[in-house]
Amino acid sequence: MTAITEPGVYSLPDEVYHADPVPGGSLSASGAKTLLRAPALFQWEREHGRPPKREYDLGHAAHKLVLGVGAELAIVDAPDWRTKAARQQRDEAREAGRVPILAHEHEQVQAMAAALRRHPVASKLLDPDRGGQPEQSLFWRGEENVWLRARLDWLPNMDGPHRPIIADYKTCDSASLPSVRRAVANYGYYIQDAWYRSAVDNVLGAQAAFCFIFQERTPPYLVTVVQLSEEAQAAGRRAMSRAIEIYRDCTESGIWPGYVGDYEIPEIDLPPWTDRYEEYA
Amino acid sequence: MTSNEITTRDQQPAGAQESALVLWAYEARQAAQVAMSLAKTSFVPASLRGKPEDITAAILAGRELGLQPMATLRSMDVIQGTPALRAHAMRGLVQSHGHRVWLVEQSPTRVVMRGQRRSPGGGYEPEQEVVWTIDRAAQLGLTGKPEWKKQPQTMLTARATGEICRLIASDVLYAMPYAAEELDGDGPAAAVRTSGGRVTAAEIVGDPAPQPEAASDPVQPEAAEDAELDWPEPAQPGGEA
Repeated sequence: MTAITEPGVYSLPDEVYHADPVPGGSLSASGAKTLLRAPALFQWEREHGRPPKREYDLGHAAHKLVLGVGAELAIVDAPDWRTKAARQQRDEAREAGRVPILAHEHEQVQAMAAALRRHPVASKLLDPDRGGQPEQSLFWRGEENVWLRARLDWLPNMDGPHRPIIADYKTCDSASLPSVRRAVANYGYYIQDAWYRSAVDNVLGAQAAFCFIFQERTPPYLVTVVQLSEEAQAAGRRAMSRAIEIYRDCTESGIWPGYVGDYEIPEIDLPPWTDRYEEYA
Repeated sequence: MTSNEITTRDQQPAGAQESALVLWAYEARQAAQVAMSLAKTSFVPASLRGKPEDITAAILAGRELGLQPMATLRSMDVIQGTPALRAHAMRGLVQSHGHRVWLVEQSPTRVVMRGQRRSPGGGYEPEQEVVWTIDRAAQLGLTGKPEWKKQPQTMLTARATGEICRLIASDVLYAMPYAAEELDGDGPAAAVRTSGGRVTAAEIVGDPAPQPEAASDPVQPEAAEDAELDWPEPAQPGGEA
């Protein structure tokens, strides 16, 4: 069992990173996002693990082909997961630490990787010749002396001729700017932005830039590369601080509340759009 | 939304509230015009330069605090997206409302400040004291930051100023409760420094990519550099600065 007790950059298998190798616990960006929804959800996921989701498998397979790292794929030769045999193969693959994927999905993911390699900017951002390492885990002590961790899809080279740019790859239904903007808000990608920049700053003493690479899961697998505005970055830093504070308080008290405290009875108002009905009443 | 819509929705005739809003909107437009002509001048701090919208907002926020536009621009900084008063401006503002703030002790390892809120009926409420030590700053992980290494005494004083001002006169500071120095690359919300401007495709595709120009760097606030020590040498302990 690997135990991380010193800040630094580590090459760890997925499962070691996700099981949190810091004795006493550490907080990741995705943990922070869950914690901000409700501490009880974070605590539950920490004890029980995250339920596997099909979209994660597809995203994971795309990562594997694009970045060349991550858990091995297990290609299941079936049209879908409806037959018992297919489901059994899927469960066995997960059991063995591999990522199950249907044959036609595997073709789809290969086409996605090819499309990504054709994109001039995205391909460069993830180009090993540019210097950098895929899937690196960073550990450090953040505010409040809390241990934090981050797993970067792509850790850029800090000493090269280029400004270091952290790149994070996401698969999505739509890579249009309005959709990407919604995704950044809904899935808390702005928190991830702050988290990873902080990781690189604290562990490597460098100020890196950050780009998200979004790719659609359907042909022609369009790619959109974006960076967050100064305001969005600041919102990420504020959310990060808040999450660390909540984590510290809950760890100290041993109490992980749900959406509201058990002894609180908040008064709620109608949502703002109901005003419109009053107007015509 | 126009003022007419507001009136219809609330089913009330144009009243005092609306005219205040209209007046404010008028002033905001005037401020925006002024901001356009100021945006490129050196009277504007680097964090606001070339950003007339931010200057407009700063002027309007300063007005709520009772500051003249040019005084606002000398007193304010936008630190990583958050507008903040500089510590000296915060102290001045609180003192201008009749509250007392003074320095008791000042060294690179320890700063003590006291303050007293003026009572509504005249006289003063009991003294409050704040102590900022280098240990406290180290505990928050601040002392590793360049500005703290360069001028620990100034940074401790700025922290103490922010804290004592919030303690005795938070009502004065509603619009801007934190001193720029508290947010400036050393505060809790600022554990991350940004990387020097937007990423461009040319930078990524070109080989080797051009480094971003220092001059176009919008994220290194100047406040830290010019957070000059504007405190007099400590007077007698307890004496008013």
